[in-house]
This record gives sequence, C-alpha cells and structure tokens, in this order.
Amino acid sequence: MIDILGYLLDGSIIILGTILSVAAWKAYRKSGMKSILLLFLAFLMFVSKKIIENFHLIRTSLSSEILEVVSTTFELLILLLFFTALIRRD
Amino acid sequence: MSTRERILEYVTKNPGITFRKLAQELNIGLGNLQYHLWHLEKEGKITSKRLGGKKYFFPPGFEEEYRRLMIAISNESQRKILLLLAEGDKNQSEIAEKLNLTPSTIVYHTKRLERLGIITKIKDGKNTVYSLNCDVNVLVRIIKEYKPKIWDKLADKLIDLTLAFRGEEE
Repeated sequence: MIDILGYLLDGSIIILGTILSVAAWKAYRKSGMKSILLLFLAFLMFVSKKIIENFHLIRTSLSSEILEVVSTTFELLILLLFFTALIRRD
Repeated sequence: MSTRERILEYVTKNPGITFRKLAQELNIGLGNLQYHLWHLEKEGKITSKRLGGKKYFFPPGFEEEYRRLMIAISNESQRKILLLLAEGDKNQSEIAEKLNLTPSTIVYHTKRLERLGIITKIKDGKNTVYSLNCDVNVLVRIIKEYKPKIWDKLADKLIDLTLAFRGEEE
C-alpha cells in the first residue's frame, strides 16, 4: 500500500516537474533571459532525478548506492542552478 | 460593391481584426469568408498573423507595425501596461500602483516595449513618463481579441516571478 502511494507521489512530481519545465522553456523563448534557462534546466533535472530514483524498477541489476550518489549529485546541481538563476544578471 | 471588396475595405479600415469578428461584422458565412480572405492574401492585398489560436488580418504595408505589436502583446504584463497607457501617459510609479507590479518588472517590460518602438519614454527631470507610440484603436482591438493559452500564462507568470525575485532595477 505504502509502495503504491510512493509511486503515485513520484508520478505526480514527475508530471508537475514536466509542466514547470515546459512553462520555463516557453518563458525562456519569450524573454531570452538566461536565468530562466537555468530554471528550466533545474526543473528538468528535478524530473530526471525522480526518474533515476525509480530506475531500479526497470533495471533491477543497478546498485542502489550508485543510484543514490547520482540522485544526490542531481540535488546539488539543482540547488546550484536555482542559486545561479537568482544571482545572475541577464 | 462585391463581397471581396467589402472585406478588403473593412480590413483596411480595421487593421488587426480577427476572422470571427470579420464574419460577424460583415455577416458573411465562414466558408465564404475563408475563400475570399485566401484570395486576398494570395493577391497580396491583405496579410495575416496567427497568435494565441486566432488569426488577425492587416492591410499590406502593415507587416513591420503588426509584427512589433504582436510581439508586444504576447506578454501579460506588457498587455496590461499598454492598456493602461491607452488611457493616457503614465509614469513608472503610476504604472506600479495601478498594476501592482514590482519596479524591476516594470523596468524590464517598458524597456522591451521601448525597444519594439511601441512606447516612448520622456524624461522630465527625475520623472519618466511613458506614452504610446502606436495606433490606440488597433492596439485595443488586438488585445481585446487576444486569448492567451495556459502555457503562455504560466510562462508570463514565471518571467514576472523571476524579475520580482531578483529585484533588478535600472
């Protein structure tokens, strides 16, 4: 039951993240602001991170340690992208 | 006067009119209107531009003007600023007060509109007044008909949110 709830939540996050990525891409195309391009990349990485976290469902052979390291690296990159987007002057 | 001539005359007098509005005002069937508009466009007597799911028609020689207008109105805050300026000249604080936008957002959008040549900035000492530099009737007609898609609305909100967060001022 908890597993199913977890997958549902992850699925919702992926959908919402994709919507935000599309909106950010549209905003970048409209404004040409580099900071919005960084936001787009951050949203995209967030979606990728969620997919990677659930990768063991497709490829059971992958070690959970590797997935965890990749996921944490993505987290760091996402935060860096948000930070750069906020301080960057276009 | 033939139907085609009536359509041409109406588009010339009302640049930026949409297909539906044209059908309503001239009381012409959609298929018939589509046929005549296609011919008029092919003959180079009118020109059209699609934006936000609607097709706008303009007389020839209006390309540069409508291109700039269409870019300008594709953003929500810019539409609001333009409609406000259509009522009369305003300075930055008046725009901020009426539209509830941050100064950085106003600076960004007015700069874009200025670059497009849609508005002009007049400096009067410390006060900067913005005024429209285009046909008010055409502008209001196009904005009234324009219905942005959900993605455009989200994108516009994200632009304004980013500007407000960074608080970048002139």
